[in-house]
Amino acid sequence: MIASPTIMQALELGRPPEIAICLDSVSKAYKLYDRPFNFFKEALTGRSYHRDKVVLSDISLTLKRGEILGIIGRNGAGKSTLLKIIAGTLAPSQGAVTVKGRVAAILELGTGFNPNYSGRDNVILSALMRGMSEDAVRRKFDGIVAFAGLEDVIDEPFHTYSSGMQARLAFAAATAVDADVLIIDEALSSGDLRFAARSLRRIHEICQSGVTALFVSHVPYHVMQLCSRVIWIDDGRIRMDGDPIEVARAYEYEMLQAVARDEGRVLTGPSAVKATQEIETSTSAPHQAPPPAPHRPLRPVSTDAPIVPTPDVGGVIKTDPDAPATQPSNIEAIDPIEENVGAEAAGDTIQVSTGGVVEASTVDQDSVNDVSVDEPLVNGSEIQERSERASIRRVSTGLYRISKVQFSDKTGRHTNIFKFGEPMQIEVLYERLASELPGQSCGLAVTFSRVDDFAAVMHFNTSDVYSNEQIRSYFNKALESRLIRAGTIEAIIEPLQIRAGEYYVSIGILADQSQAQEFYDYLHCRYRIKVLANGFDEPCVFYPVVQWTNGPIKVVK
Amino acid sequence: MVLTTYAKSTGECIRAIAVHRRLLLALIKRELSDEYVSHGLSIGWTFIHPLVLMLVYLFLFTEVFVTRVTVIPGSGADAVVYLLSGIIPWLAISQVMGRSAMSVVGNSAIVKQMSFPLELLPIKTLAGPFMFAGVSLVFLIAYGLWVTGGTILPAYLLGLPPLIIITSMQLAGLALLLGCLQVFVRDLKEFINVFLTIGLFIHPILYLPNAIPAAVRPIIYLSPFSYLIFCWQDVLFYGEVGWIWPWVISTAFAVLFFMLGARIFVVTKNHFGDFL
Repeated sequence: MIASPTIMQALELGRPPEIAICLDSVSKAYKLYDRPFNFFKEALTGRSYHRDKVVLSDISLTLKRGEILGIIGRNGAGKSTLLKIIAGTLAPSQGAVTVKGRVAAILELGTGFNPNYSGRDNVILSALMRGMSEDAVRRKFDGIVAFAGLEDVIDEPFHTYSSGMQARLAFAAATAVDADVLIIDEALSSGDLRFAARSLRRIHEICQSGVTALFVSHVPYHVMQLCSRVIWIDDGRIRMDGDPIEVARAYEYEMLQAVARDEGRVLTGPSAVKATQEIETSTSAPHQAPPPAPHRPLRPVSTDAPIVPTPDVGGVIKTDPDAPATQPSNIEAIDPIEENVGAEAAGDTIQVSTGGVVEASTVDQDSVNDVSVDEPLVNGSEIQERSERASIRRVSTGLYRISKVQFSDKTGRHTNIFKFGEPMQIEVLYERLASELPGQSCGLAVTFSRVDDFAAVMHFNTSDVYSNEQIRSYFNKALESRLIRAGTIEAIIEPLQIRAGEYYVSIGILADQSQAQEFYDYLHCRYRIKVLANGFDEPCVFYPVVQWTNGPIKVVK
Repeated sequence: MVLTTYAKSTGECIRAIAVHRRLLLALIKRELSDEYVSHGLSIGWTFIHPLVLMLVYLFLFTEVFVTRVTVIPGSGADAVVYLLSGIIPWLAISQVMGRSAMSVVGNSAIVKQMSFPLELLPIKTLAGPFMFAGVSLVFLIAYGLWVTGGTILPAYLLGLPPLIIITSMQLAGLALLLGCLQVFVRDLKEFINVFLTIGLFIHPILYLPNAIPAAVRPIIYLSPFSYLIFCWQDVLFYGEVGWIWPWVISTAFAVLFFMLGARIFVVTKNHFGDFL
């Protein structure tokens, strides 16, 4: 994300950016009184007449001026309560909140709008109620109306507007407020596509103008686009705090896991984690090749102290506003797939067919000469952390398990760097864990998600019928024997039609049956590949295979 | 010690109102037009309602109930003036009590979603009742001047301004108090309704205090509003301050209500969000 000007200016001037918001171990417990009158009894007698419902516990957070903070978390995690405490509409039960400057909170659109009044009256009064001066309202009024696109109907009663028009006007009015701290709760989900884009841009502009903003969204995409930092609130605590992409990815994974739980699928337990960890330790013991690069460091959960800039070790294309602008702007070596290609070996029963574990050093230096593979040796703690992170990204039924995944290029070399337009082969090794026999053999589902924003750009599923189903033939072999303990699925993508960039690859194995939904094993965004440009680079993500001919032409005689 | 905290809260409250006076004005404008928005006569109804009511009272007291209230000694005005000089403040009191109790609870969206000076919510509910009372008062003063041939004019000029200030302060304090109490005591609204139903009869509005049996007379003196009504009758009907105590007591209640209301409001307003 682009750093906001204030921070950059502050860095240039060599002084630490001003602290805009400081929460010091803030807790919020709603006091539940059986009768509201008990509140008075309590106030008068000093005895407790309530039950506590803890919503937030021990939240410490420091935001510098100009920082754009995204807050994600499931429903009821305490996001809105946190925003309300910062906005000042709720008082914390414990802890101290310091907010510098004027706060504008858009917690709900259309508060204070009266449907019987005209759009004009509503805009003016709601702007006044949000703390705008009359002058400012007069000055900004036309802009608000133009932004909402309601010039023609602004003097008609508000209730005659469609709900989309109402939301647009409310959003326009709400975001027109000048403030030092802007708090937005789920305000983007209204309006049609065009307006959604426009409002996103508006929020972008506001964020760029140097305000400190807090932004709650269920859509990780928005958070990643807008924020320089994201916190994940879970059960009233800060679960994770750091780089937008990392946090959003972990959050998205957990949501998938929850979906799996709802559907009655079993999840990988702690024992599986341990297994993974042991295997990884043992496989990386010889250190024949440099082990994978460390992934991005996550910030510790506690942020009492101002955040120390974290150097971007992995060399991912991201700009951390905290980090000094010493980072090279061009794409560096990709974070060679957290665990690297094929490092997912697990379980002693696997039959590794060929090749073995391939490390990032096998990356063809010629074809990717702009890539510097410079990785420190892995150490124990890192393995530990790595496997912990690996473990949370797995959804498994325990019936089959992906034991290894290998990506290879046209020459058959295992790599995670590919050229656009050339073939890519994905080989998935799996093993059967359960003793009972499954009804179907395994199918494969693969999704490529863009690293920048998680947009899924390419997906295929071997178990869904496609007219010329080449891929299908690969795993008919697995059908042959039901006694199979392990197997391989190979998929060849030729040509690779996604454009240059970095992608996460999610891989799942599932019943080889049309419309199969449940994964035997699923690794969410577990691998990371890089696609290099080959020829012209186009500003798009997918390049279709096109055939064209020039039709008959007329020639001037 | 206690007094300083109360004075501090009062100051805080007054400051909040003063700082946001433009917003208050806009809210009051909105409050006044709220009831009649998209009506044909819109704000005209604000004048029509009290005028019609006053004319009805005038008709009732001069044509229907003539004999019930006739001669009251010590005044040049007639019974109609006596009755209306009690009815008008009572209407204002009852309207303020009824509306202000819902001022915070009824605006839970604003309380929970906006950074907003919450003091304005109960304060702005005074606007409607004051408008109503103002129009009625103009009617009564016109009638009083006509009946007394203008002799009551000095009382109006000298007595009205301080009395209006005392009344406003009492009602503002009451509005703050009821507005925040309603958040915690949801039954309050019902108590208020009961009080308002019997209020016309337990206050010396339709009768003279000494016209009722001595045994039940103390009831009159229990209600703080009786003293306020005495004051209004002094100014609008008697044209002189016959008895100083109602004025002293009313002023004391005005200060008490306002400081108590401001204090409780300032202390509890941060907890509104938890109960709405």
